[in-house]
Amino acid sequence: MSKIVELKNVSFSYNDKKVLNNINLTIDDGEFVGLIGPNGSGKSTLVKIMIGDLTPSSGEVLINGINVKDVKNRSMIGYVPQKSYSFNASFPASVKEVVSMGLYGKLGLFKKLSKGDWEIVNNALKIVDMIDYKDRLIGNLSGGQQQRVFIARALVSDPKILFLDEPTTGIDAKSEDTLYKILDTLNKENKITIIMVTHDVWAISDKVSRIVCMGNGRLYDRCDTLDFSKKELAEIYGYPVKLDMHHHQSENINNRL
Amino acid sequence: MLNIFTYDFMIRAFLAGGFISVIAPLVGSFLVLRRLSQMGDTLSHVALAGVAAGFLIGINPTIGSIIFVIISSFGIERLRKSYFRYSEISIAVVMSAGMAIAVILLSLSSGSPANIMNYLFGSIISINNTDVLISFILSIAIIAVIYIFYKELLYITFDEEAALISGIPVNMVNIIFTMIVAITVAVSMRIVGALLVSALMVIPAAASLKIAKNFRQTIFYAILFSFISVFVGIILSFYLNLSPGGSIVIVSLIIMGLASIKKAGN
Repeated sequence: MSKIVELKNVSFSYNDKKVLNNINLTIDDGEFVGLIGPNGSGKSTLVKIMIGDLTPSSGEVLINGINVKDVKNRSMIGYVPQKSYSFNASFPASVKEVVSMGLYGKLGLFKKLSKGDWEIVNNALKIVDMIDYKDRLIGNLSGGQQQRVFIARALVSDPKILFLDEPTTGIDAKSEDTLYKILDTLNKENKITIIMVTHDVWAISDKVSRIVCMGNGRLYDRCDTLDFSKKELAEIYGYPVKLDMHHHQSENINNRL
Repeated sequence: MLNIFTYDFMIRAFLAGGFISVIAPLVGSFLVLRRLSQMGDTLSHVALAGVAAGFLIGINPTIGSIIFVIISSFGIERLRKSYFRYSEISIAVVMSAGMAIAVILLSLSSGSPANIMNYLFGSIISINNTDVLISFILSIAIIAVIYIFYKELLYITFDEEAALISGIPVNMVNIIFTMIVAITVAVSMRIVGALLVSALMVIPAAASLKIAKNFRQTIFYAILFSFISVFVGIILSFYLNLSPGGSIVIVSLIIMGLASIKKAGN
């Protein structure tokens, strides 16, 4: 398996505060990585560094062996941001307009969307099962549906790696299941490497191929699915964690432990 | 009844009015959606300083105002970055600066007060052939630029961060957009007046937001509403002897009210 993402001694500070402390991480092509950790542990910062949105204070980020800042083909990196941030829910754009935006960077300046491009948009909407909503206003959808539209927006540029920042925030359990099914298909059938940030340990433990834990700006690489212990989690989260946070999930894990 | 089209000045007013009724809401829709509705207002105050400078040194006031507005629009961008969390400070500061310079330049120049009133409140009688030509050329240029950068502008307006990450040259497009806003303000104030120019940029877009089903429709309805407002407004101002700027804005407010009622009825 080839390395698709490589972080070497990456540190990052906001003003004087050290957010990331000497992080080393290698992700192989085809993996589905869950990046977990409590709020404020630096997960989102780490993702923004991996996609090249932020520049590390020291260390380097390689995508397919190339420094992320020098990656010419930006469209190979898909990113689904934490939706509550930059998105204006009352923006008058239809679902298909929002999804088509994912193609703009790849198309370049001065080019208009072709018929083939709109086909790509439709296909992406079919993958996330939102094709019936293509003419709806984005603001009239539920949180889970919006999240699927943003995944479709990331998919149209045909990415090799997909980063998702807390995709399950604010969506109900049923939408969450749908979302994981979609991600599973993308990972297994479309061969997209997925790196998903969440603070929800138990929900993802049986969905991903590897879990990477973050706490206090450091990575804890020993904690894969079978390695969880209360002690380690307490260390990561900074407080004792109960194992029955998500009932159906915790049973699963208890059995395996 | 007097035939409105027998007067040359009315034909000039309809021509120039027609051009600005397209560009003001076109540019205004992006401004409104970027939460920069106040920008037009600020720039129109600066444009007034440009008009005063034009009177003072004897160049075409519209050209004077374009120069002033472009310079100040970059000032706003700079201030916006240095007061990142209080970006509205930049708008307030530049508005005051524009007004202060306008007042000082006016007190220096010997131009008649009536002239400056035309720019403050708008005028249809005083529009000359040069004004029509300038508004035509600049309107075509603005429409062309927005057509060319439509998808980049849409993405940046929707989500600036995501646009940047996807490789769109956000800074360059923002600079071009800022210049377009500046030119639109300078051209539009000739008819609706500095005090009401931002109304024509903001109100039709606000009305359009109530009924549009996608972004293309938002732009289309904004232009349609503005076009109706400008023509009905000019006709009303002619027959009833009212200020054209005021009439245009009142018509656009009525349309906005109707759009809100339609939305509520749905």
